[in-house]
Amino acid sequence: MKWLQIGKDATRNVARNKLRTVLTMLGLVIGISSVIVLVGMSDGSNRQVAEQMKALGGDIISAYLFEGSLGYDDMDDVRALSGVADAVPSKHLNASVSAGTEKSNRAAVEASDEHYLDVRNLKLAAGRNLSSVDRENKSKVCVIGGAVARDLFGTTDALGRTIKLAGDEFTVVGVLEEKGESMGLNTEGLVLVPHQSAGTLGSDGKIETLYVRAAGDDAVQLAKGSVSDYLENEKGISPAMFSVNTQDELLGAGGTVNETMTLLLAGIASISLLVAGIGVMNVMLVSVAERVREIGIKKALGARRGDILIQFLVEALVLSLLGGALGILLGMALCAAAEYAGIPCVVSPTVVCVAAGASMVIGLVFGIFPAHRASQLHPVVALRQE
Amino acid sequence: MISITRLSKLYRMGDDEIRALDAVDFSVRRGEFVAIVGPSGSGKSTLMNIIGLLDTPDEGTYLLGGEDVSHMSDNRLAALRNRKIGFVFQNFNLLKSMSAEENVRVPLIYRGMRARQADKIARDMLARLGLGGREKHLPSQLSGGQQQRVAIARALVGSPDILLADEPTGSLDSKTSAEIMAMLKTLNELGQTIVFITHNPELAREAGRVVTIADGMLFEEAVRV
Repeated sequence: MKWLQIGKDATRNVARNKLRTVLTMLGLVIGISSVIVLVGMSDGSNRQVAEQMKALGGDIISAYLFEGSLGYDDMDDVRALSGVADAVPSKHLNASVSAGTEKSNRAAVEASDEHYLDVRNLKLAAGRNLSSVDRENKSKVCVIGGAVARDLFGTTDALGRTIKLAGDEFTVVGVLEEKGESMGLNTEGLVLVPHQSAGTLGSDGKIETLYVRAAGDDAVQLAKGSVSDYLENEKGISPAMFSVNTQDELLGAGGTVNETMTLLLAGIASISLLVAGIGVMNVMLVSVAERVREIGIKKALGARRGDILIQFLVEALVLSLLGGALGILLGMALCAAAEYAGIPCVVSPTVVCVAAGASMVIGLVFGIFPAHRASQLHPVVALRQE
Repeated sequence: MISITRLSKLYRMGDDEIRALDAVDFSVRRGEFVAIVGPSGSGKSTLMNIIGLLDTPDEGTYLLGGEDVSHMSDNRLAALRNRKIGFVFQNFNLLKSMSAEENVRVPLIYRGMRARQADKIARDMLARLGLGGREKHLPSQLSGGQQQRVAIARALVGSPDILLADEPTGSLDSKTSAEIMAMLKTLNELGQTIVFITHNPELAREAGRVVTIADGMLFEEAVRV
């Protein structure tokens, strides 16, 4: 009961000095909201990366050969390696894409085979996949992304239509499901042709890039090892002349940059919170100095040291928690605005709890010294104060 | 009620040692109205602070209701002040941000009483002192005499053993002073022990017993029947 009254008193004192309260809280509001936004943006970009990982499949391994090459027949060997579920060649071709008078500038022609869609986790919206028959017949067929279809025909309904790749006519047999753009893989602009049909498009048939799908998430390292081993020992390519990377490793570079950024931002946020805390302490010291006489009167009426300590500590807490709450609200609003503007930003409940906890800790840490000082005042000295 | 023997309080001012109180003997019986008179600098404030448990003596003993309170911890003294002493100050010393009622109930709240019960007792006490209807007024909305009556209500609300009044009329005009003095006398007649400190010998005569303090030493003056 006593504490409730002391708490009420403290709130009243905070409310009495409105301008001072608002200015003090401003520091906290800025500090806390920046923490919310910065952590939110970091979480947001992590979420984006995770989504891309999921879209691509975390079990994808890419191999690049800087020297030497594989033939199409070698793909069977690669598919038989331990830890490997499937593998496809990937050959980017520099060919213009058009139909009639329409051209598609975002189209990227890639030569591979019927395993490609599986390995890259792509699905057809209409039509069929490439087939072994297409390979054997060197058929002039292709599977295209939705954007290419729209560019050339104004619609995704493109089955059976003919497109020109570097002047050569190809028939559209399949249209991909729209999936959006993801890391290094423009599925919307994809024009997939059979590896064996690419000769007329200037392909030499040598495979320098391949994608491998591991047999499950825990076989990724095994698959990576066996692919490297195969390239080095079976094909005699020096390890310096090829690179085999898991999806984790490719994303890892981005992750490290992100981590450094997060640390930097966390540092800035901590400094602003420290400054806000010093502001709270400053105001509390002023508040104590102004109310020495009040402290004296209360002591004369029987207030113990603890009563005075609690009163000022609660006052500091009210200040910091109020500032923290406003900071959290502002942070959430800013995050929502960022998300609306296309910058990924997520406010997790953990961050909100941490921010609330941080404001409480600031109130306690920076409030305890002024409160202690107030509680130690000698009643005679305090009462003498004008 | 109060039994003080050979009580001394020293202050150090640079290299000089000042004896604010020098081996003072003083006692107050239950139900007495005692005035302590002395000019400023005589040591009467120091004596009042010690009697009121705001300060502790350097030498000598102070028994309050038979209990030795000469060397107690701050928190023990605070608890005793809360229960045994009621202060009335020259400048009222009301808490500015609190209403009359809230001011009066402060000692009860520090005692741990529920607010609802404390409010009721505070209202009753204000009514007894003729301040019914002014419970919600802030000190700034009350006259000097009214403020001092609120202060007296606050001093009395916890039924203290001793009402300690330090120049209670020092900030009031003569008419209001007379009212306050009359009120103190009435309270004394109802059995309240009062120690009254003043520099004004004339006012002191209102009390049942007058002691004079000068240069840190006490002299009994007169005992009226």
